[in-house]
Amino acid sequence: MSKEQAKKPPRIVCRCNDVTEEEIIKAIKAGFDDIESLKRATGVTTGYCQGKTCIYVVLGIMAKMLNKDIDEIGLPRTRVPLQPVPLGVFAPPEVLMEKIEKGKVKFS
Amino acid sequence: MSDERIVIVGGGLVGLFTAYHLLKLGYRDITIIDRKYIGYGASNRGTGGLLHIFEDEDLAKLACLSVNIWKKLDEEIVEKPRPVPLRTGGHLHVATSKEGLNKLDKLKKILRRTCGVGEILTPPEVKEKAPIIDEDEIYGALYDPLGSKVLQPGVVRIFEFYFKLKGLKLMKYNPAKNFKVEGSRVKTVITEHGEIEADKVVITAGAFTKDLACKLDERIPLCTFRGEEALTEGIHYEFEPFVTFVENNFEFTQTWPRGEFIMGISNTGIGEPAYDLRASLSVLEKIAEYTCRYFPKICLVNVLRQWAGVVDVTPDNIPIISKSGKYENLWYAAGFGTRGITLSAGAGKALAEMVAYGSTKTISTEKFSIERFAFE
Repeated sequence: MSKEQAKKPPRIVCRCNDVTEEEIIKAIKAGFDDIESLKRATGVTTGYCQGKTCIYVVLGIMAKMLNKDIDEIGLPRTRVPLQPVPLGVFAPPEVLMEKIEKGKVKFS
Repeated sequence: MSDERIVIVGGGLVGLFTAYHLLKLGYRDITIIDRKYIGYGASNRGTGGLLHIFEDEDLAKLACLSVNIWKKLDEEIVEKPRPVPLRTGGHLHVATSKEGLNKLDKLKKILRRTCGVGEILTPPEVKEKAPIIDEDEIYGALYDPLGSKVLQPGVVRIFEFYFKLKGLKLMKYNPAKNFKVEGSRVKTVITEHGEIEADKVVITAGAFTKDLACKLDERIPLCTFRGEEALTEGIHYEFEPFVTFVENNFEFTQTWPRGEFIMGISNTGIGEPAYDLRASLSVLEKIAEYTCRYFPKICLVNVLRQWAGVVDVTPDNIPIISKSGKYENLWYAAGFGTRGITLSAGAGKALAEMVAYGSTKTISTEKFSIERFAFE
């Protein structure tokens, strides 16, 4: 490897989980060539943005490498909630209130 | 060395461990097929606990053996892209009532007999192990220091890498449709993308095992129920133990390296449509309730994603690891319920020994035989 290549900074594709382009290419080459396997192998589309930032870059890389249409590859299954929501929002109010009154949940 | 052609129907953890042990016993011509990707189904959907606490003593023994195989995996597989993601952080089985505490005593005796470990902790001691737990809500816990947790996608990735290196055939997105039989032998597995000839067939297809056995005119009594899991955003990793509860089916731990909390509830309504994989709001509310109650510090952390899974159980809650009652070259493993990840390693080893020698050498599987279910 030449010095210039070694200095080349990694290209981050998934910003939530810091997955680089190189890692994605490596995983596809290793046989994780469908979106569901790739997602589990690398962690792309499972971070804070749930794939909203990286999915089209990932699909682009896959389409190019596998010589497929993006529609053919498809999207990974969507998981709820679509936006991150504090877990306590879903808890029964009385449980949450009791914990807040006892000072066990702190908003700080 | 054996050049017999083996087909494993179902590329979940049990199937993968079966292939792994067959490989160790000298088999080379192994084909694994799965209806979706490798590791599809319950294998990838659980919370990842490797736990020893069982009410049934034989299952506890199998679990003990199984977890030992899990722990040796990293040492045994030399060629791998990364270390096996397994951490031994202990397992806390928490009681939130007096009756629960009595039950723990019973479980402790079984755990002591089978694994030689286990002690009852008081709430302050529990808090030492699991600092974010609310000690006012609990009565005590059974602590198993050998309890561990794994990240299943990472393990599946290592297996895939290793198997490809060893020349095994992995066929994903290729569901088995039917079988060709000749007398008391299964000759061919018919899949969506062609036919695969086999000398020996192993079916480890989770809930689908029942349907596949139907095609072979064999009845396997399996019913299914759902479990749901939720995952939070990652925060600093510091929570080692795997926590379960006596009174409900809530499970809680933190994954690594990102530090996401993973919470699950199983057994959410037997009798619901068996293969329904949609996540439900009611279960997320239940997960949020338990998390706020027992781990109040986590209740303001954002939840990122929620998913559902289906597990298969037998009427007596004991899995099936058995030779077919009808065919001489067919084996089944199914019905592991919510402890499939723990038991997969031992079940895989038992199956591989049955395939290779006709009977198991290291694990007694009499109790798991299919013959205990008599049909009219």
